Amino acid sequence: MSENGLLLAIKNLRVVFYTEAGQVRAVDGVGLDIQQARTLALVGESGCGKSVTALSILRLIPDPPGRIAGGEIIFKGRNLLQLAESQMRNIRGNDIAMIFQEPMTSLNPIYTLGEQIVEVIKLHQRLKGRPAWEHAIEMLRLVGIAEPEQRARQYPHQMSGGMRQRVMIAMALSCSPAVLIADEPTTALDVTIQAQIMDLLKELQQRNQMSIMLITHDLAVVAENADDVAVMYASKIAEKAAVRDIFAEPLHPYTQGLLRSLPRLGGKRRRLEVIPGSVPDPLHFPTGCKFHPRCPIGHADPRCQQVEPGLLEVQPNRWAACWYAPGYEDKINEK
Amino acid sequence: MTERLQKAKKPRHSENYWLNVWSRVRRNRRGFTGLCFVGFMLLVALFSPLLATNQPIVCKYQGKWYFPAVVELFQSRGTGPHWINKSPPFNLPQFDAKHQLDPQAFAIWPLIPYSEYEQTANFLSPPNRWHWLGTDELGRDLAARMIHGTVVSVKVGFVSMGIAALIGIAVGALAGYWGGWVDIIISRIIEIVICFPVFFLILAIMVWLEPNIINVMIVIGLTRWTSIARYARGEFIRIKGQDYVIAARALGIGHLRIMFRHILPNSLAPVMVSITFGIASAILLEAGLSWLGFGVQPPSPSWGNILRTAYDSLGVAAYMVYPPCVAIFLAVLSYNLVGDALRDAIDPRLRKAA
Amino acid sequence: MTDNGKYLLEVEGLRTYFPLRKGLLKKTAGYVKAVDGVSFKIASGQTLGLVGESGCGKTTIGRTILKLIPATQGKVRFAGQDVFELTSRKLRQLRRNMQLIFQDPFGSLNPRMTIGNIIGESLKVHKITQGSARRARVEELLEKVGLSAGYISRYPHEFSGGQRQRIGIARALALNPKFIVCDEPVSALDVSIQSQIINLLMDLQEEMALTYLFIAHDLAVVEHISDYVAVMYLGKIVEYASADELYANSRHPYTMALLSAIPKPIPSRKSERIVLKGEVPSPVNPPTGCPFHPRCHMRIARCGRDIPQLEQKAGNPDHLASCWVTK
Repeated sequence: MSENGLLLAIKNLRVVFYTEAGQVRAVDGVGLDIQQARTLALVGESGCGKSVTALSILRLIPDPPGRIAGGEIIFKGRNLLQLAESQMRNIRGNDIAMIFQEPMTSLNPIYTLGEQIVEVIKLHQRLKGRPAWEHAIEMLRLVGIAEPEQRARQYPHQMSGGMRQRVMIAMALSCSPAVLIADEPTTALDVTIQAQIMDLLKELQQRNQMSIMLITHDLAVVAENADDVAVMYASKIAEKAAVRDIFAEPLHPYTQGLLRSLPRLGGKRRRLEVIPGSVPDPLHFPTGCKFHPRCPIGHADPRCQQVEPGLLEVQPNRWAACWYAPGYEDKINEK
Repeated sequence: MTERLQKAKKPRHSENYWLNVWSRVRRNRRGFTGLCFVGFMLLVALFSPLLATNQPIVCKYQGKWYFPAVVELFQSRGTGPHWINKSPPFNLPQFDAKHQLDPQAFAIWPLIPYSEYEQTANFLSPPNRWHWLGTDELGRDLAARMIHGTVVSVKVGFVSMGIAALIGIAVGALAGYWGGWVDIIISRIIEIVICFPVFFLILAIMVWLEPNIINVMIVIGLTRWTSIARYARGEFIRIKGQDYVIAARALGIGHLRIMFRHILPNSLAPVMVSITFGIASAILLEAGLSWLGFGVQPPSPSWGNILRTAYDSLGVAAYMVYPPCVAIFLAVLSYNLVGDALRDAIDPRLRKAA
Repeated sequence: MTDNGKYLLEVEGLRTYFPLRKGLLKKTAGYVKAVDGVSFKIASGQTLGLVGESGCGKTTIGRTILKLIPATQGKVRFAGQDVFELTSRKLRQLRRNMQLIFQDPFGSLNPRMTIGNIIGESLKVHKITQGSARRARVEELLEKVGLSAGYISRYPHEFSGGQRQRIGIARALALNPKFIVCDEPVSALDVSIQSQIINLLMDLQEEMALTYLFIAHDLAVVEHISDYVAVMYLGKIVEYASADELYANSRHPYTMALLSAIPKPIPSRKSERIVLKGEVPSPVNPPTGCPFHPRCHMRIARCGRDIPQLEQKAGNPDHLASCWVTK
């Protein structure tokens, strides 16, 4: 792993939601590292806690019913979880920006696009009036929107999904943040538009030397766009590694199952491999390893049923949380 | 199928949507209080002949057992076999049980041992030991009249809104489901009816009709259906486009069944809220009509006309104003609270779960 | 009649236009040409995959074939019978043979009905079984789709997305249909559940000799399950071929771009990708000539003037594409 420099480090993050039906541990001891100018993909299925993790970085968890219950998020030497709200506001949109899945609802329908970008610019930079507007137009041009001067005067409903997503990216990048968090940015888009947007993000990353935290459930998108990958399952990290390693040799049975169950283009028509069962209900997590009921190895193994394996670095820069991951036993004995 | 079957998880109590709503309403304190008062009113109305009448509930007279008030309960509710009649001498109107019964004989009297029509000698007397709320200008016990007035309010509330609901849901369903010309015409009709100032329309109609409780209920019902119709229409339009309705059509299920079995149960939530608020306003409307003299006529008691008498005798009998005012206020307030709680309980959190 | 038995479903020249109304009661200011001249045939027991991006009309086709949306023009023949000409009683009978599975597992089940009722309702309405026989059949269907029969009195909100999708499939199977339109059945599901449902659909196809029209935007899924694939763009089919042929040897620039846009789960230096410029145009105002030409990387002058028709390509009578440039 190249030492680009650790930009943002999440350590032992815990987020709890208090619902009518009980307490839900949405994120339970998650640790992630985001390197400078690299893309970290956080992969998982619905309900695993990846979006909550992302929102926690910017402290956007609605409180109530949610609460960040523990851990640290170190960014440029400071623990974000301990900053005052006014300091966080300085960081949001400025140093760390976020784009969301649904471009339809993430833009305010009653303001023009130009106005919305200018709002961010005015807030964080010392630009006002004409120069701010020019900067906004420049951002629109940067994200590949043709005729930006006209577009800036249009409203969100006049644009297609792909365009709106570009505008969101423009807004997010207008203050040249060091980290961009992209929460399923292309899930709601057509595949050809998805390709455009992912290419755009890559280009902007190169240009600004920006780090991207990409949250998605699509492993293929991860393969083509990420440098490092963390796989989440049921509020915990199951596996972390560089992208080539994870695809070449996944260590955790969940990752293995996911990769095997993907229909491949050009593959023969065979029965797809399957991970039996479904994602556990966060109110009733299984004991021991949360994946064990669905695991080909773990469902019959008493240790997997009772004791939860922690995330250990079984090889240089390869982390796994599975008793049977190669190198795991040795790592435990080392301790 | 070689995959393992989805095993049944911990057997969770299968939750009906309305049970869910009910538990949410219960948890809302204001709503629950309102609901308690509504329940209280319903009980008072239901058992009014046992609570306020001039004959005992059970007594022993000249060696035999009699249950005059209980019989009266059945007779007034219209239920029970017709051959249950009050045995003599209790069935004679001039038989005054209070005086005729042997003081030594066993008798259980109702809470208020006066009937709502019974006139006594101490008229316009303020609350005292015998008449807990006082008496009116004809010596009738105020508490008894208030209790029997509850019946009017409850009846008017539910029956008139029942009529309104039937009309409103039917109209709204047709407009929402069929769309097109049917919708255009019905919507214009709804808009026209809404434009009428309801209270004055009702007054105008009551001038023509004989003022009694049945006509009041019908008239209120016939004028209050519009907001229900609008909600129903909106819900039908929304639900009509849902996948499960399209699935039903694809399965060859007929229109009527789709409307009643699929769309209607899912559309009731906002309609229920509207009905609850409608009951509150119906009670208020009836009180107003009776106060003006167009509703329930004396000697039949209604909170409205009790208030009228109080108003007329304000100088001498100020104590009479309070009971009906408080009763009307509490009734309307509690229905509104229930409506509020219901509205909170159905939207939109439950939309996600359901 | 015709060559019955060979083709279960035949669609000819199907057009579905939605009028755009302006003004209070005024009529059409234009048409949204959701489906604009589509023809295809599906043989019994086979799967035709229909792919395209949003706005291409694929969902509309599925519903038009089942006569849930009125067609503006065209014919649909099912087992030789003209679907659009049927009386409502005959249509009701035909409905038993043609069913629909939906995309959204959360909206496709009536939240106020138990799943036993949801699945068994069609049996009741068509008077197929009664009482305990019906219950037995519903339980049988539940088991068939991989759910325990003990769930019969539960409500939809107690189930996960994948399970609800199975319930939807059971509902569609209740009447023993021959043909099922699968409208994006796995798009809204988690990755690890998608493969379960795809396997289930394939098993059921084999077991019950079903014919599928499989509508999706995920090409990998479509290739996996389909025998033949039709690619749609702006209401028209632009390419049609067997699944293997389409992926190995696509003959329409849009298909090529689609295939190259799909991310593959293989981390490698990015291969030469055709990235389309621009957005999908609105179906109200399709471009002149070939609807794809403004975004096409292979276009020539003729593409802007004349609309290409579907014609045989690559010397293969089963491979059609509408393009002036490719052969």
